[in-house]
Amino acid sequence: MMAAQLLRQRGFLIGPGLGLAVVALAVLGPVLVGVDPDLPDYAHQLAAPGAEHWLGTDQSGRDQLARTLAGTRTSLLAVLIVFTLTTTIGLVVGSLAGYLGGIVDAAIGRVIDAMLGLPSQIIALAVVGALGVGSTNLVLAIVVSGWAYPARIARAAVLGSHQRLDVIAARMAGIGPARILVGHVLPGTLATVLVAATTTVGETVLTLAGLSFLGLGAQPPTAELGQMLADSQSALVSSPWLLVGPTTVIAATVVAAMLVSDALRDAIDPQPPHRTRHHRRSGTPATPMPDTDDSVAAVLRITDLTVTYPDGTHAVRAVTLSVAAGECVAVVGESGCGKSTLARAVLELLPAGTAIGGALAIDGVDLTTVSPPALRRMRGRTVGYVAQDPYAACDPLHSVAHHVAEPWRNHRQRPPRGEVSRRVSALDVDRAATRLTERPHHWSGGMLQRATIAAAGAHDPVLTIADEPTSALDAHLADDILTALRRSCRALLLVSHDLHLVARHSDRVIVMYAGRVVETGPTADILERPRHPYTRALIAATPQPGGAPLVSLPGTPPSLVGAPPAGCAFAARCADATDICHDREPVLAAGVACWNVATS
Amino acid sequence: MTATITRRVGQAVVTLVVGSVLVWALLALAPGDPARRILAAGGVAHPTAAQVEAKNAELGLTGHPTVRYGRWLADAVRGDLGTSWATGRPVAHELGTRLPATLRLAATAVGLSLSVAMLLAMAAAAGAGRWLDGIIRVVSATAVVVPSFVVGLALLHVVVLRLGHLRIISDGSWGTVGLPALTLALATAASWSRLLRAGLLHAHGAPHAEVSRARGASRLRLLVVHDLPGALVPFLTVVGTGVAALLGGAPIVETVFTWPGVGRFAVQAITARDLPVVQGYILLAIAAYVAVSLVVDLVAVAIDPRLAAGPHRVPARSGWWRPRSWS
Repeated sequence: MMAAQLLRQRGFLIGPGLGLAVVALAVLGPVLVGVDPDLPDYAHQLAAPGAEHWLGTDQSGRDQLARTLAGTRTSLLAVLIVFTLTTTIGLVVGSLAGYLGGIVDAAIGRVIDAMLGLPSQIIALAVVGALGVGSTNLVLAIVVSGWAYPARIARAAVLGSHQRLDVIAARMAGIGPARILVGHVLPGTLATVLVAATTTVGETVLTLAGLSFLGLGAQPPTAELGQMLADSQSALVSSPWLLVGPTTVIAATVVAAMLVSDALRDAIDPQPPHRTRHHRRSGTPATPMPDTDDSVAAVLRITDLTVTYPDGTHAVRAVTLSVAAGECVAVVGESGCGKSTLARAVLELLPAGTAIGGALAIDGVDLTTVSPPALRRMRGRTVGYVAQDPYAACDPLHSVAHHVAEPWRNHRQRPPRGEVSRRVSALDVDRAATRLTERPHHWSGGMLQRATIAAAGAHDPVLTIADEPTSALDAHLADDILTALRRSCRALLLVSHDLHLVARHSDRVIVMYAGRVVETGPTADILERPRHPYTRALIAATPQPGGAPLVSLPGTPPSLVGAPPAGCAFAARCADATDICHDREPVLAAGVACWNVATS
Repeated sequence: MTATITRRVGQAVVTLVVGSVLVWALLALAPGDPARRILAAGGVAHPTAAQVEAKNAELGLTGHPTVRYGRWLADAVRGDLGTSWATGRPVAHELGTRLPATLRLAATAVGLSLSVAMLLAMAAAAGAGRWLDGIIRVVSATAVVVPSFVVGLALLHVVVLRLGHLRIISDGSWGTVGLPALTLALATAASWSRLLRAGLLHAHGAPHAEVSRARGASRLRLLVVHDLPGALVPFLTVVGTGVAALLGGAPIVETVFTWPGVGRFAVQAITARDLPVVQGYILLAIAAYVAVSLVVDLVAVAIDPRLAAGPHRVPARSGWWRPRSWS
């Protein structure tokens, strides 16, 4: 698993390749070139690069290629010693602190923190200053300035292992502390510390080169990359090529070290690559849409909408629905049924790489024909949005007032004087004018959600989309919040899983299962006379005051990754399923998609 | 808030104490006998035991180590850092005359790095994954891996002296700060821009950024109004650390350009084994670093009060983004 991940990292192939090349140069290079790097040849001082001296010669006529290779050997050896010593010392000190705990840990922890709070270059200079210049002292100096970081990592890893399940299990099994430390704690700690220490190798190379350049490391005539560069200073005006060899090797070593460490870190802690690409839109632009049963003009019309995420999840499949002006339509279903995806698709806020098919029209405007800038101008003006968790929906660094005023400012407008606090007060927030200057985390969840509702309604949009607007709040607040929401907006597409709220606040209900609409109709009809077995199961799983005991639905929804199920997606969990349910997908007819209903 | 300030100040004091003990101990344990060195430098090649004893007493090298440390620390706090063995002048005076040049270099380099880094990071993050972003990333990666002294040498010897466009006299004044500051700024700007770009993209993925988009925020507005403030606090910590480190001088760039700052002076003192100067320099650099880091942390808490709740965080280490400590 891990090896496969490593192989997939391009950097991990380039990194070790480059690193191996540098090591090979250091080990084999001097042998292959076969020229004494310290042999002066005063007849050929500062010769230009050519067939005889590929990188030219220095002030003493010494072959620059031979010196570069010898310098690579010196530098790499020093880096290797620094890496081994810092990692070992860090591992021992950090593990001891984490393992012994108590006063020892407190003392070592303080010293580690203090060392990390000191500038590492100054520590290195102090050590060289005290011991005197020379390559051994320089290596020692870099070790003294660098042991604290792996020690901190090791200490954290050992401390964290006290809570690890395998360690607890080993302790329960009566295994002694020493064996637990060696058998369970140290292997993981070692890996973590090695990866962390790898990230510092590139910097060690640069530090060594820099300090040697200052004359604090290896002394002439020993060839060392930084010291060679310092030596060449007086001849650079006439012989700039003297920079080439040592610089190339230093840069290549640093690049190799960084690529390897980045790849190792990504393999252990994978992060999605940051890439933004506009999602693909396919589908049927400007298709004249078939009129549904409503006589009132629809503000939202979704026809045959299909959403496929970049990972292949078919989150929404062939969904058709409409919301009439002034109407509240609720989309219900269990988690993962595609209801939130539907809400986001309307705002065109799906992640990059998502494929969208079908047609969307808001207030008669076909969104497939709208340019991205025009679409942006519709957001917040034609369509309002209320998110699930008000705290996550607010930037913690800005005041609440900023968020309510945002719909104006985003469209290069200025909210009318006093309008922001008037809007928020209208939703029953006390002392709105003074409280609005506070940051979001000073507000209660219910009050903050009222503020985001005020923001969604800023431009009195024809349509508001609310994605589980109360599920992050205390249950007793939900009803008031929805009343406030309903009062402040025109048409509402409400995504919810709370059937009580849906019953009280919506006009029509759309039940979704596995990315499809399975039943739709007026709220009272659906909740009182559900026809689809899934709707019935959903209602049975909802707590009723003084009602029947809860019946939870057995099984889980089908996976939507890859090819969708052949028959009815609910068939596997349905008590009434027959052969046709498993073979053919039922189509939505007369408000319900079920073979048993259609045939009865 | 008060608790945070108290804790952070306490931490800084512990760091300072550990640092000062380290500095004192290292130089007290340094090989060689300072009294004999100084006497030899003064022409007394074969001092008597009494002479050495007298010199040791004069240098404060007698008594129990804790007493010696206490005496040394008390003097240092009063601004008495001892006398340079090389010049015979007070160390505080020697450092003081070179500090303005270092501050000029640091200020120019930080200003330059900060503006370049912000510009590059915003441009890269605005079109993340596109060609401009790619170019910026390659250029900044190159600037990170090539040592700054090579850049300095190339600029100075090849561009300036060989082509003869400019005449360089590094006298520590504002007029000559350009080239060393540019050298210093190149590597810093590169690593800062990479860090800020990553921070901007991270902030851009926050849930509230999506809600802002749903309210019609444009890419640019989102970047300036939400992403930048969100990315600024961690970025500020890194910049602060960089500034703090630069107050201790930039030994390498100062040496390349013969800039008369404290960093180059310290390197000369190390080579000449002028221990009081080394000791004074290290103490000054540590104090400046700890003080600036403290201020930066407190400013970060003031900007984002949520940080007060969490423990003090050291910025995450990553091969590419880490601020370059050597310059």
